[in-house]
Amino acid sequence: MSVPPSSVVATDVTASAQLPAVRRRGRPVRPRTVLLHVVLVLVALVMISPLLFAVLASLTPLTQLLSRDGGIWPRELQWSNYADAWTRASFGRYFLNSVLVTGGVVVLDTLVSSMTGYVLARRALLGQRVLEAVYVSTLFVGLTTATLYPQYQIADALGLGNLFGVTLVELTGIMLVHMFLLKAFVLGLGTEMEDAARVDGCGLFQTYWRVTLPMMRPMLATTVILGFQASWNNYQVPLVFSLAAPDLRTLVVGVAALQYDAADGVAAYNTVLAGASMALIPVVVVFIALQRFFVKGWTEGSVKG
Amino acid sequence: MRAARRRHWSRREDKVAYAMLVPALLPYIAFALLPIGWLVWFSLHRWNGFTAPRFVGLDNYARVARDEQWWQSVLTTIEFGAGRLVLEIPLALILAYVFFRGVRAGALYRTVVFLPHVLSAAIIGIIFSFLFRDVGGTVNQLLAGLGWGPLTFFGEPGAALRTLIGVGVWAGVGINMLLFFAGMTTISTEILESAELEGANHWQTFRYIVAPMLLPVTRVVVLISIIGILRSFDLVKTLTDGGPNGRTEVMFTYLYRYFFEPDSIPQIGYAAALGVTASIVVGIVSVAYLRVVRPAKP
Repeated sequence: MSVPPSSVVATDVTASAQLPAVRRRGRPVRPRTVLLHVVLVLVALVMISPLLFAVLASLTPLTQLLSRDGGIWPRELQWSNYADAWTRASFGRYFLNSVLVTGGVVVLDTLVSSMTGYVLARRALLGQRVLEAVYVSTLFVGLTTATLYPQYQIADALGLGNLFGVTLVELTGIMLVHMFLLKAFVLGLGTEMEDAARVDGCGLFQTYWRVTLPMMRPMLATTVILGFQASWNNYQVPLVFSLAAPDLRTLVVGVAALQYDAADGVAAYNTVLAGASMALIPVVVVFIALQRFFVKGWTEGSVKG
Repeated sequence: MRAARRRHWSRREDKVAYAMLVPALLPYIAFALLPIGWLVWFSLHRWNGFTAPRFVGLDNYARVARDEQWWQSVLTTIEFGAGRLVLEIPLALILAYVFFRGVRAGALYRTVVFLPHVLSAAIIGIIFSFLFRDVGGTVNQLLAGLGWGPLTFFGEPGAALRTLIGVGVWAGVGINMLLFFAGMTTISTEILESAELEGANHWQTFRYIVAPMLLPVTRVVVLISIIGILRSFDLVKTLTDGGPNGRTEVMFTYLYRYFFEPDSIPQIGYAAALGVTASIVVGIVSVAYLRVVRPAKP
């Protein structure tokens, strides 16, 4: 795996970079070390316990949650909260929407960003620098809450007031960073393989598709993970698209909408938290399985600039 | 002859290259360039989103300047940001340094501290709004078990802002820790070893070697945090929704209401002016920050 110079920062992070000579030989465990671990365990508890309490509450009967001093431990584990959320609160539908949007964003982002990154790295087209400058300036201005309204209006006018519209708007938000990450990565690759493909008669697109795209895999792993996370967790875009069409809600929006209803009186906290757990679990599972890429992605995406 | 053919070939290739840029360009134009232009254009209009817009020049901006609630939300945003930075950055730095010097099970602790960063901010807000409920909330029940009286987390403006800051720190400390940690791993081990040989303790090593060498990374990390915090929406929306009585409203939750949750008639033109102003505030704060940190002595 060849690594572009820009990502040197990131590569050591995963292999826990411990320094030699930190622990002196032959010494007994010092009280300070014990204290340090006590503090770290406390920190870990603070980080983890809110999530565990949320999962516990998602298995608790509603009456217990609503009483003033119902206690923390569920009197009985009520798995039906999840079934209720899935069917009655239509989280099944929302889950499917989340999967469709996230899948669409990841696939389109991979294609679109890699193609753009490849051309920006390998060609010197007329107007290319202007294009890059415009892309970068957009990153600074930022697509924020303020642009949601026009984004939705434009999508609606184009007949895209649907899940595909949500996908495209989310894609626009994430692809700019990714195309520059991929451009930097391609610049770090040698051109020998591409040259060989050229000699064999491959055109520009074929060279990209057959040679460079497969070579981009290490960086694509990063952009796929970041895209997955950004899209699955996105709240604002699907929120705005689904204001008039609840069928378009994703899981995150569905949970938030249910919480709003809950705040209005019928506090179905158990269903809300069951939904919240459903929204969290896929990300947590993917994170634990592919932690290396998350860490790499976040350090590359940020410190580089 | 051959040169001419190659030029022809290369021009054909250019067409292919341009074509390959189009798939990104189309969504960019439709959902980035146009919306930004749209925002600026309609900020100069009076418009409810339905009837014909009327050009009013800078009237909307004059109203923004007079809108006390808006400036209150700007102030709240800055308080929220300052509160978070003051806690988050030192905490992240300390944790990063502890992990950097090596501690048993460091990788596991690191994973746990980083975990909230991969979760949806909106869901985090929902979970904590449940856990911190003033009456019957999990935290208050736990406190009651220890014999401590119930605390107010949302009912009172100061408390609500502190809750917001606390949850923000919980969610944000991990990424900053990770970035600091990544920065520290680039420091050459030889320097650290020689410091060790000279008898420098952990604190001295940190103070005189790690901290100065980390300064460039710190600048970037703080800048990223500032921009992210000023653009906050998800967490605030689901945790306090600006309550009580709009006292924890931040810039973007405030302007969101003018677009999507109007009290009576939507005021899209005014909302657009607020959006442009918010972007300018983010820009000014970022530039001011960079001006402050740039002349810092190395």
